[in-house]
Amino acid sequence: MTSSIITVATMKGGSGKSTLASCLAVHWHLGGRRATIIDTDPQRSIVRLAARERALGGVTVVEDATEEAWKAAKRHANGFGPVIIDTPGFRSQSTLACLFMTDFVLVPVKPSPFDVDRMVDTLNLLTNGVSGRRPLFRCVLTQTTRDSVIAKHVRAELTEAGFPVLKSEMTNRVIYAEAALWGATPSLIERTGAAARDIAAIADEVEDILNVSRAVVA
Amino acid sequence: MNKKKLPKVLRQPDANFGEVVAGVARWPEPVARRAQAGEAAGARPPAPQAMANVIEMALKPEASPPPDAERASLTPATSFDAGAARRRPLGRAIVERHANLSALGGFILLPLVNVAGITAIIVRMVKLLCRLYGLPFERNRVRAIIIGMVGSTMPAGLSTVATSTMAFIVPGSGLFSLAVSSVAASACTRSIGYTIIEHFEQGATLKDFPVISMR
Repeated sequence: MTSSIITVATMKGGSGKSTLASCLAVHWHLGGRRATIIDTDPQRSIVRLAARERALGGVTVVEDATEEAWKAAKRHANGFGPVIIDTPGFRSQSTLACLFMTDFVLVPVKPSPFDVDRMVDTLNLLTNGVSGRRPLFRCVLTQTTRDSVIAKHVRAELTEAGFPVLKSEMTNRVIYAEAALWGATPSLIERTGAAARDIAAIADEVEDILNVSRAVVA
Repeated sequence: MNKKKLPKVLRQPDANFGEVVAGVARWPEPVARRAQAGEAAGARPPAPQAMANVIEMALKPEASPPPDAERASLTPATSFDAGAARRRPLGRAIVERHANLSALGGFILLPLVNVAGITAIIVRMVKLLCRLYGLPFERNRVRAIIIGMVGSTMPAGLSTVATSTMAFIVPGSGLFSLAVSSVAASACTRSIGYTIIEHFEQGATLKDFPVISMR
């Protein structure tokens, strides 16, 4: 996964897209890769985060909420690290364009019926709406309460229905908000903490999937 | 271990998303979209049980206006079918007519009889308004409403009517009391009529007439 383009997308706001995108980018950055985030969300969550004290540990952040955002992603993908695209929480032309050229799509979903409904809509768009192209994608549970019945229930149902869900998930922890106060992620604040381990597990799974996919294509 | 039983989170439990994701099967249409497609085709599909409580914001189409000849022969008593837009002016016409009748009723020289007469006129007005709006009419309920409104919303009105009625007994004040009684009765009737029209326009009936809030 030298310079894969990973798009974090769902048409539901507040599902944890920006948090997931920034956490993965910082994780890979700390691992020695030159990660880049393309912030296509008009809310500018990641740009605002990078404007704070820790500046996401030095991860390159590109702000482009236009339909040309995918070009910026392509440009930065010529480097040596992953490019992560953070998309807005609604259907937009920039999201569609990014989905068209991305290597991998991560769909964050909170264990709630609202998020699952919008996740289904997003996957519908992914599999039918992007010019016939079917990008590789996985759902990832976010903001889950550890060992909660609802999280287990949603995971079980999604898996049973045939949705590809990552084994790892982002458990809801206060450190995400605390780290954001510094413009950081848990990996920067507490490298060996539980949240950093969650992020590392998700990143490893994504890498494995991308490596397998690349091996199959080769 | 918690054995809590939770309902399904996916709204298309019969769909095989595994085949959809693999590109073998077609994507199932969401429930809302199916309903939308049905509407576009002109046929409204039966609402699923889970959507039965969804309130539609679309306005109901108004009934087409009657032809000119028929419109000319319409009376307020039968015109409630003519569409919501025409109800208010017809209602006002009913109120004005009964307000004038009440003014005449105020000239009745017999004490207390004129109050009973005016009440009867107001009851008749409400009856016609009920017919105009296609609502059931209950005489006893209307009487209670009228007494409640006259006695509280317009204490001055009722007391004026009562005082002027009593003033008939006093020799020499007949003309003055007649005038006061007539104007007060007309104002009472008009006020009650317009309040009831506003109430019916909001889709309410006599049963939920909030006398207290109207005071």
